Amino acid sequence: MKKTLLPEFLPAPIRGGAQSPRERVAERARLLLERLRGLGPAAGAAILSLQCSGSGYTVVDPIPPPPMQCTSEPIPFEGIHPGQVYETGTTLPRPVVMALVTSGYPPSNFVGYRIDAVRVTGGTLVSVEDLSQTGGGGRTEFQITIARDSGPPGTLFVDVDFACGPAAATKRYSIMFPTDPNGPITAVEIPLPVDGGTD
Amino acid sequence: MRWVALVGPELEENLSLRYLAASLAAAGFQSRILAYNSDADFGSVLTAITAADEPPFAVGLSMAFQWRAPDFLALAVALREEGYGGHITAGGHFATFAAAELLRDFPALDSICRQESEATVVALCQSLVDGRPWHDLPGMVSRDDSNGGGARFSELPAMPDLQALPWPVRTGEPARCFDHAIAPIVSSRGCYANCTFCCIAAWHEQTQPGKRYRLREPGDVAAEMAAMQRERGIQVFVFHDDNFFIPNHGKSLARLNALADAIEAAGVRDFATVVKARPGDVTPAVFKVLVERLGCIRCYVGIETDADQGLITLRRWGQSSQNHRAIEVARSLGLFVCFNMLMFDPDTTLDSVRKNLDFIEYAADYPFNFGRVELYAGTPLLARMLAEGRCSGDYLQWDYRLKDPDIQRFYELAMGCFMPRNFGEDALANTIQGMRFDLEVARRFHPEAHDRRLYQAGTALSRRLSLDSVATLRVLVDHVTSGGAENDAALVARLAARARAVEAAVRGEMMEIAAELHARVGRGVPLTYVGDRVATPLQRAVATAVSP
Repeated sequence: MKKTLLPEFLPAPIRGGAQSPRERVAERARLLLERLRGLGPAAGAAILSLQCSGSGYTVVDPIPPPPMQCTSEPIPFEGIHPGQVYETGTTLPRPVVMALVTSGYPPSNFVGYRIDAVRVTGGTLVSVEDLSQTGGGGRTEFQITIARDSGPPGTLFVDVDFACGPAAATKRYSIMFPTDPNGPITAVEIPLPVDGGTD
Repeated sequence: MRWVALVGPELEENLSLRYLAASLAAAGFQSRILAYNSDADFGSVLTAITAADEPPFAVGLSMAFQWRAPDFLALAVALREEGYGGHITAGGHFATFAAAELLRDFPALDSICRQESEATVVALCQSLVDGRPWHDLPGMVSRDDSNGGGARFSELPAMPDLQALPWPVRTGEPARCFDHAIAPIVSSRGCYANCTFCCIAAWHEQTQPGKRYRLREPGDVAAEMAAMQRERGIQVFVFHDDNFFIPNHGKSLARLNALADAIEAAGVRDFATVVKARPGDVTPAVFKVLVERLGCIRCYVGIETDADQGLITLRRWGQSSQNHRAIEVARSLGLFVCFNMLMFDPDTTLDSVRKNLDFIEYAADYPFNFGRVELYAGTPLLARMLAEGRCSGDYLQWDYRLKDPDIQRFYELAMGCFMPRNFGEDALANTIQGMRFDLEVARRFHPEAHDRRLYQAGTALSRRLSLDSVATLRVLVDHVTSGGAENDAALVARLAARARAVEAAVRGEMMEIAAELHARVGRGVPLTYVGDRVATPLQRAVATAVSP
């Protein structure tokens, strides 16, 4: 007898709210199956499980790592913040790269995030790279590259749709270019407009 | 071909699955062990089951490790998604203790096999094949449809007679160090101690309250070793007993001598052993026999903590003096030991941390790793933390904060600095233990290649890493206690960068030592080269067929 249990087991991601064990596992199964079938974005890094270091006969009794997946956090997106911001390339105006990273050290240094969409005001999105590393010592790092509509000074606004398992949130960042060409480019998170808030 | 898929980690030869496979084979069932070590194995395991000419009529998931439970549950869900319609059961420590929650939350699972399941799995398979009810078989947990799908527990299974159990199957090529074949074996099940954090103790307390361990007859163990050596060339026997020793030094001594006599009588030659002990087990008389008659080249000593507070919180039933004596005995016998420190537990104080750092310095000639006590299903410590309302997360991944805010901060800073060293890929705190093991294998089997200078260089190198860890931890303690001017993130960034530089240097020297040792031995490869990567070819072989 063939059991047909869909869609009970693999529900579409829900947005917001705490994740139950069943929801987390279903999401994990969905991502693993998508990767197996060659579907889904950057099948990657973000869904790899923690590996217990010291496998095989190297260690007699390896210590397991502490939990680090973002899905174990009730509010998983608080730890993401802008990292380095810098210009790249030679064509003018030079594209800008903004890194979005998790806090500098675990256990706040969660992994497992993904970016579902990026919207830019004042420029054009060039690429989103997931440079996150999982496993012990891993960290989240996304690099968003943006081509500017005009040269500095000025400000870009970047809305990023993050997801962690079925939970999702949108964050807005402002990238500010100084009037002094030698001054630093800065990026900060700013509140979203009331009508475009977090899901 | 009607067969059973047994899915679990195979980082080493997985004796729990291999014991099950042996019992199934003895009952006439064919099984295949499918290695599921990481996400990389997900696809191959899934297709081995769903794309088989004849899918298995049952799948058994080995859920001993709580932190990997989501992987196995996701596999169960995916199997259903792919249309697998056979019976899916799970077993092991975590599944046993979380049976009700797992069956409540995961309809993909049909049942849980509690406790030692050799008889349960065989009976389940016989019932499935015969189309008979299985819900009330000893050891089974199922859903009670008459009770809203709640868990229905049958009686606990009778504990298997360790003498009567078929030896675990030994298919596949063994792992090797300098071409000396390595394989695990057990001479007992359980541990006489009852530590609050230990799910093994909790597991055996459930079926053997108060005693918690059973022994195999020395003659049976020796006969298995002889067969392993005869049929597979095994020379390094890794005893994965939860505790190789029993709670009486005189009886331990007698048992070790009896085992040595039996091994000698069975004709096992040119061998070495690896064992695990509690500090209180380490006495000069017992360990002299362990080294001289049983060829022990490595002993994991469960130090865990040297602080009085930690010894009480973890219910270690031991004292700091026993920890120190264990190290002194090892030194006097020239025995390589390694240990872990559970530096952080729910009650840890700064005084506890300082005491443990002192101990690590004292024992720095032996490699160690450190971490936090995690909360495992079924343990008294988890029950306590739940009662105190200190747990966050859920049964798949309990988390908690340390009681003292300064200690919590220290823990976070420490993890920021040490995550790659302690838990990362090829974590040096672990791989350097492999290098030390290589030196011991060379010393044991290749005396002509053993070089005192090289041996001392290896010891000094792991000592250097240990002392660097202690020094960094002391900086963090001072920072937390003195309110240093540097902010936490900047401090971690600075110390982590320095730690990575130290690791790069130590790793480089470690590889040089391994290379020189490799050249001197002139055969096979050292474990240092293998690192955290695949140690046994079984990991590459997705499936291992086991026929009756």
